[in-house]
Amino acid sequence: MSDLPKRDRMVAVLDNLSGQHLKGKGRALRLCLMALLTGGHILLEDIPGLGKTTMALAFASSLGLSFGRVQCTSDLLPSDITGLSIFDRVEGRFTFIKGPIFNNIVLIDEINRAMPKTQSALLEAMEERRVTVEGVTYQLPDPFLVLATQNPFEQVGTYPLPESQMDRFIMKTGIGYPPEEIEKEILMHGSIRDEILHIPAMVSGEDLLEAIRAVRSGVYLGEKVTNYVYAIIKATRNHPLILTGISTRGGIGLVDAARAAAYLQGRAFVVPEDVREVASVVCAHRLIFRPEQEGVDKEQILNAILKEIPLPLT
Amino acid sequence: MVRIKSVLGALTVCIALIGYLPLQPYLGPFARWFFPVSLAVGLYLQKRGSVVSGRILTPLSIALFLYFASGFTMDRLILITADLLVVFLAIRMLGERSGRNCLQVFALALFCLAASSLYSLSALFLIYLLLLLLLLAVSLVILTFHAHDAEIVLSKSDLKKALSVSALMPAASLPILLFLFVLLPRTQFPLWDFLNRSAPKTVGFSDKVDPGGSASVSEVKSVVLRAICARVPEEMLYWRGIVLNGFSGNAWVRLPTPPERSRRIERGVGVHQEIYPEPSTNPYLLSLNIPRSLSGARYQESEDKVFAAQRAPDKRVKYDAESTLSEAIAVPGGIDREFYLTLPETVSERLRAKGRELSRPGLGTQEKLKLLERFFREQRLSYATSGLPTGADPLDAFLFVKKRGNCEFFASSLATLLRLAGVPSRLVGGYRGGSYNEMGGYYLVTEDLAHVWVEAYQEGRGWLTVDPTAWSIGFSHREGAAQRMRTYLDAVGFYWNKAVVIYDLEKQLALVRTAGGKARSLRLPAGWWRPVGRYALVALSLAALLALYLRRPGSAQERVLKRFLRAVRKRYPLASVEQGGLFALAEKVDDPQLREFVAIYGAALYRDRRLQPEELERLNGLVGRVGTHLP
Repeated sequence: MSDLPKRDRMVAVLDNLSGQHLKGKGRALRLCLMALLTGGHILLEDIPGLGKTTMALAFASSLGLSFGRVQCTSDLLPSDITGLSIFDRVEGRFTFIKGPIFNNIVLIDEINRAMPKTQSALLEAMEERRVTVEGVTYQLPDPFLVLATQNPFEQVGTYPLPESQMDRFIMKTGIGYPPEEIEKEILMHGSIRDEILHIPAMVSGEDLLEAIRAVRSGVYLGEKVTNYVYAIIKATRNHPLILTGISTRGGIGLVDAARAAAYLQGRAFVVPEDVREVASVVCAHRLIFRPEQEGVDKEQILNAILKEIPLPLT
Repeated sequence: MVRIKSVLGALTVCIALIGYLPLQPYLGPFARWFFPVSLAVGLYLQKRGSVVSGRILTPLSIALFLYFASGFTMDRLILITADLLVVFLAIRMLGERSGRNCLQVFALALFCLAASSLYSLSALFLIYLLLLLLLLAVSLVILTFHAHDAEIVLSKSDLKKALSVSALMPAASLPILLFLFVLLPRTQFPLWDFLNRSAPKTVGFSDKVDPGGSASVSEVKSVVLRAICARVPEEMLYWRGIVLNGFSGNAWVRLPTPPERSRRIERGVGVHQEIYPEPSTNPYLLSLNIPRSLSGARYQESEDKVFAAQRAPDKRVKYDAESTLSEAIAVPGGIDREFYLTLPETVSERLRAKGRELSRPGLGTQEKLKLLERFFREQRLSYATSGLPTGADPLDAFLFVKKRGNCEFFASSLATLLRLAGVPSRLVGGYRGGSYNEMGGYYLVTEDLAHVWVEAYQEGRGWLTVDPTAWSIGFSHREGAAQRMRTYLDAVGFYWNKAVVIYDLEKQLALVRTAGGKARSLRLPAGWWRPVGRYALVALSLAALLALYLRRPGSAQERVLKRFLRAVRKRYPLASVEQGGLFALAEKVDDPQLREFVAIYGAALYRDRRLQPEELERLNGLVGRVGTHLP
């Protein structure tokens, strides 16, 4: 079944993480991995204290990747993320000190607390995968994944991401409370922050890059599934409640994410179920509703749309 | 979301209305008003959420029953029954809408509609009947929901499904309805009609012309006959009914015709008519002037071209007539001049003088007619149906004093003047004009078109048709007054009568007989099967092509999927492949055969390649075993 390179290793990492260290976060982990495999970034929208940081840490260490973290505040400057040049008196010249963004996995906590200037600098780095400071361009490491979080409830003193910037994230999802049993277990054993720091790396950077390549070029997207994806996009554009449907970039994101899902399933081709699996996390945050429909739950509408579109079976 | 209760309520009101409306014109005043009032009260109470309790309604029904029963006589039987039915229906509208009450409303409405057919058999009955059929079927289905749980609430789509399925039932029964229509015996006229048959009408056509009998003539637009025929020039449109040739006092009546022999009319345009008279009490069979022959009814023909049926067409009949649009009936043997010159009892001095003036020798019949026409025109007589001359000598008053009258005045005064002038003359009664129904291709003749004109005898030519009413001022038949809508309605009613009401036991028997005769005398030419076979072959192959096209089995891939889906539906009824997808299903159920099928099929489908023959074979094998690994 696994003619896909490194697929088994990736699944093993996931199983290990969600089975041992991060119980009840299987879905979020899987989505993070998908985002990593597609080369995109993920936005986690949830209340603090559900283990976003823990998850990101565990994820990074088990994949053998470097990890950086930025806690956003309203006075956070772009240079706090990208890094800055400092005068070295010994050598008598400026040396560039790399910021936290120069890591494989970067956790941007409460991205909506940063001021727009910082936000856009960050998003630019995410898109370009490089940073230009004082005329010098620095390449960001590969693989590169930004895990941004935002708190949906505390809106005072925040700068909510505009929809156009949301579009940069391939996925947006929540973590949710863990199931009852698991939460009780967590309560019994306390925080596992220290334990996480010692998770051994299960894959190498090379493995990851190979997997990313496999997702990009080794998973086939057929005509039927393309039609299906297009039908979804078109339906969002024609929906009466929706002002702006899914953009072409959104469509590309959907296809990429579906590829990653197929890869994780061990399939060398995308099936409509893959598209459906990722559609709500990839598409929901890209929909812009009519002003009078602001309060509608985007995921619900999207799921309703998905239900309407028949799966291609012949 | 729709409450089944309100649907049932609306349907019940509709059904009650269908029971009430057809019976409404025949009801007594109490029942006529009681129903709408109690319907309104019932609806109002229902809106407020209360109903009149059975403890009030039951004594009320009994009291009303006793009240109506007290007025019972044999000849009011149907009236009272109808009233009672409607009153009970009305009382039911006041009560609560329980299942039992609804059923009672349905039954009562059906009885009411049936009762209405005792009064009238118009085409409307069919519409009511079909509507009731449809509503009853739907309501009975809804009632089963209601009986299950009175407060049940259905979603719009569920309700739609329930309604459409239940509406299918009456639709499916329509062919049976048609079949039974051909088979079952029927009556031609409303059963109860003979009890309240109205007296013969005094207006319009009659077998006696007595101008001055009344000061005005009322016009009724009731239908006399419909005649299917080609369009006829307006000025030739005279429907001949009766010839009045003598007097009874001062009134023109029909006396036994003296023997004379008229010749068959050869010249002129022949017109074939298919005539459907309305039931009436006069026996004369009308047809276009001048009729040549009639068929389809038993009749007696007189020499003056009057066709009298042996009995009045009191049921709907049909006959065919051949007429020639000619102006004269030739009588080669001559006529009994004496008979046609008889004068009425009283003839005024002025008339006599006028007659003397015309009877001077040297004037031919044509000249006399010319002079009379000039005289009529100079008198400036006007056509009217009210303010008619009456009194001792109405003709004199008409010609010289009042100068207004209807066709009876014109015709009888002309005929009398002709007789005074020595020209044999007689009156012809019938109808003038008629509105042509383009849709049905027939003339509609109504009672208000009743007309009398004159026939004058000219030696050598015969009886000439003269219509003195045309010499009046202001005479015109109101053409085009019949609106388009009325024309259409009339056409519908006409076809209803033609196709349904006239169709009776006789016709049924005739149908069976001719069918039997045809079957027995069926002689097929030799080699008949060759063209028939060819046609049958063509038809069969067309049908086969159509079937193939409709069923399009599709590719082998589609077929195997269809079989697979069927197998899945049977084995895992809760899993929906159409909704969930193949791979999701494979993941959900623990079935190695199914998983293998999905893997092979899906790989081909979503990789845009066709299934290989061996794969297909494998799939077909797998489909058979889906779900079999389970106990």
